[in-house]
Amino acid sequence: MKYIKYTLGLFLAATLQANAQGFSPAAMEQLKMQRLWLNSQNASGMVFDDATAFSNVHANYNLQNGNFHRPQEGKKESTIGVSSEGFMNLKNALVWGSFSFQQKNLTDAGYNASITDPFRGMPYYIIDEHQSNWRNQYYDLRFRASTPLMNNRWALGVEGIYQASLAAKQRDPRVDTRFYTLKIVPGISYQMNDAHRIGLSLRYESIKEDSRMENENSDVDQKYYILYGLGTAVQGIGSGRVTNYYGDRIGGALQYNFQSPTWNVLLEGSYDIRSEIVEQSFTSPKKDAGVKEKTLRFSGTAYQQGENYSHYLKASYTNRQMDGIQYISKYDNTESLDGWEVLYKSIRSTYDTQIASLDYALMRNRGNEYNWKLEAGIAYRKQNDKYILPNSWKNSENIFVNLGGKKNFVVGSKMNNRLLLDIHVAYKKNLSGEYHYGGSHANYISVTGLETADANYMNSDWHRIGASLTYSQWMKADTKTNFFVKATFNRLGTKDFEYDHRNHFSISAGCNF
Amino acid sequence: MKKHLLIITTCLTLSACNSFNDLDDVKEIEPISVNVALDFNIANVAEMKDLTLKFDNYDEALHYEKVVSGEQIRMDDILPGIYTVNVTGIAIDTEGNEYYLNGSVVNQGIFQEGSSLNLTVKGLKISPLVFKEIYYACSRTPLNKSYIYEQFYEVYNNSSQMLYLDGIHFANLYPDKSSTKLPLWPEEDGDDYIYALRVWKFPGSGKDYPLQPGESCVIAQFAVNHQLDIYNPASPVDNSSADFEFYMDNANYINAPAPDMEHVFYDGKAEKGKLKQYLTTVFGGAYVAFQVPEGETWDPVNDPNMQTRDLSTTKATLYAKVPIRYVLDAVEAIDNESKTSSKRLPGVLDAGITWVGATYNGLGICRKLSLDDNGEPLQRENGAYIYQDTNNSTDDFERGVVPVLRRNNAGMPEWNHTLKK
Repeated sequence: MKYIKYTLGLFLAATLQANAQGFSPAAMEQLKMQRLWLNSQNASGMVFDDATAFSNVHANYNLQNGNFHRPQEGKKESTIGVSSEGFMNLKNALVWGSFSFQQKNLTDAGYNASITDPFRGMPYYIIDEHQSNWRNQYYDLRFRASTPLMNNRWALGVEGIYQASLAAKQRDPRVDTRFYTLKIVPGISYQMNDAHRIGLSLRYESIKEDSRMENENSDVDQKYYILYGLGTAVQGIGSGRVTNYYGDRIGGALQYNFQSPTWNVLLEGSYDIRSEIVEQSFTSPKKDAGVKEKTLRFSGTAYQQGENYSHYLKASYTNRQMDGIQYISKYDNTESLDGWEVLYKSIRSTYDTQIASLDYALMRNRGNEYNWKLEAGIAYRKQNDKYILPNSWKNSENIFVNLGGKKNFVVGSKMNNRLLLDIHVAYKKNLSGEYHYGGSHANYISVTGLETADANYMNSDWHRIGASLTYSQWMKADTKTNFFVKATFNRLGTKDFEYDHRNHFSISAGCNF
Repeated sequence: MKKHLLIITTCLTLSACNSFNDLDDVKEIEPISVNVALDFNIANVAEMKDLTLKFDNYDEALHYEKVVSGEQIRMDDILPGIYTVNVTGIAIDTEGNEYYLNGSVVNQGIFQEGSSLNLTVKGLKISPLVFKEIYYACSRTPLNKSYIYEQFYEVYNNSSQMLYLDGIHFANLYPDKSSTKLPLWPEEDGDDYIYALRVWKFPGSGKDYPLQPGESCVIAQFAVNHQLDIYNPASPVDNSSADFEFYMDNANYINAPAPDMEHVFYDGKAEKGKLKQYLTTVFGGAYVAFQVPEGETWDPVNDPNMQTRDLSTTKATLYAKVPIRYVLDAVEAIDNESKTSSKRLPGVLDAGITWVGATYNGLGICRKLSLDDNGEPLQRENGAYIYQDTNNSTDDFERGVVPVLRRNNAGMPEWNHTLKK
């Protein structure tokens, strides 16, 4: 906790000490888009980005409702939070930091009784038959620090990320579950000449979730299902169980950067491996399952700064392969051992994901911001999950297209008054998809409820239309602190399966310094 | 600060090694073959029939079955897992007596290609007395409170001969609630005993309590009409006609008119102990009825050889050792089908398990009627139904039924206290 305070203190100091730049929301967006290294996995590359200080803080309220959602999501979800971010050049170091706290209330969420985030790539958790409210809190603390360019060649940097979530289910069987992850990403970069740079970063991440289920009403034993993937489940009765998730991720990334007065191109390739073990009970630990995940990513980002127009292009590809491993354990009650003994483990399920995307943006420049911006993107996602024996499968193949436009109106010049209008549309087309369950207990809700509904969601076509309006101005002309208020509305519509729509509304207010 | 960083770094490094090492080189699951050798330990067998080998992985609901002959059997395409392996059948000896055949291992990890299993097949004489209906899950009151006084056990004369209940013992086994952490019993006991938490027996001097073919005897936890307003109007049972009661000398409860069962053993003593009532687990216990053969003495209170501790713990609680050959019938109930790796009873006594799947749901288990080829119930000449008894409670019992005393018009013995009024 001490270290969190130190880091938070460092970040707040950076935020408060930064000279206010008075960035409008469009300028802040443009500034971050130009910083290709800031969006890479290598903190040392910050030295090659524009070094203008910035910081912002904002509060947000989000609300979403409607029946088009994944089965584990709430019928209604509301989030209130604060976020803050800042970058400054301390001459001896470049420092960036961010902090976010979100309080999320889920109403009538189903098919989860044990884990903070059922979508985090962990198929082994527990569900029950009832919908429940949840009260969740999310903390996200990040920092990046880099040396200046040493000998006009080298820079060293490090990124640290600490995330913690607390989630509490409000109906029996209840759960109090806490998720933590701590990531350290040291990096080094080398400038070959004024145009060419290369970088290397390594990653280590520690993962931990501590899930404790219980019944408030001890008179009523609850029915629950321990999931083993694609609907395979074991049924239990009682108050649930205590589950200890622990794991690690290691990896590395290589970067290549080309910069000219008008072009900035960054190519990055990374590979990482995550292993995470699921253990039942702390007092008499029983290894139950685990996952081993290998993720390969490539991305190429280009930013072309013209006098009147700027172009942004990003292409990325992600290939994730995850093995679901199950243990066979037996309790050995002899004095010499007195604990659970692992007899056998094998890969019982596999989860493969491929995502390719291409995004383009054209901006009409106006000072440090844009006058207008056109955005277009296309993405392809293929999911192929398999339970090996008895054989079950769930797959989906989807293509996403999005188009958007933003107009940054000048409402007044003295106080830098701006009205930013953003209108965007998107469409998802399902190319193929199927869920087939071939295991035992096909009548369990893990099959008939969770996986069937999730497959329906993944295989639905949908369209989205949305808009946002942001008003901003300096609070005082001399301090150039830019105050903004933003309202966003999105509506996802579908006619597939039993679904209809999902509305997202958010409002936020804050300051850019 | 440096010390803290060192500790954090060390922990992170060790933890990294741990999870990665553990999941390295894990291979995809593949089916395996298992070789089973049967060793028949039965004398004077004239005929064996319906010999069947079953592999049951209850956790994953995987079941493999093969009709077999001979002593060497190969089972192919088995998925690695924890299995209960049973070979069952019927043997008829040279005197015409029928025996259940059973050789079994429970909670056996089978995960290597070409694994070998040796099963010793024993015989258990088919019992005339069987558990016909058991209600252990209890119910809820109209105010949704758990109501825990209404359990009952019904035994039935399934034979064509009259039998006497006098001196027949009833026990529930340890652990009361099923657990994958099974107790550790003395190695020298082999597989010759089961271990009782509490033992009762029917009173009588030998011929006081006859049970005719087709008659049932109900033993209630508390032999009153539980549907009365003072108890639980939502209860499914009226136990006031029970033939016997497990009375725990608790002054807070009336001693119902039904005669009391005699208490035999609890924690090494004949006394009943401090518990206010005889409540077996509402999740489902393992119950046995047994009879000490004529000419033998069984005294678990005074004979240390018939007592033992659970050697897996330091607890001093004593359990009664019941020789398997004494057992007339046994039924094992558990939470639900996923808990079957917690099996407490050896397969020779009950090759299966049964459950109602929830607690306080007012449901029980009842034995199925034997049916003829036309699907009609088999009956004896006196009209008594013959109940299915394959020594496998998974197959022999209906699960999750509303409990009924003397279902299918089973006869009430003439000595029942309600008939004496």
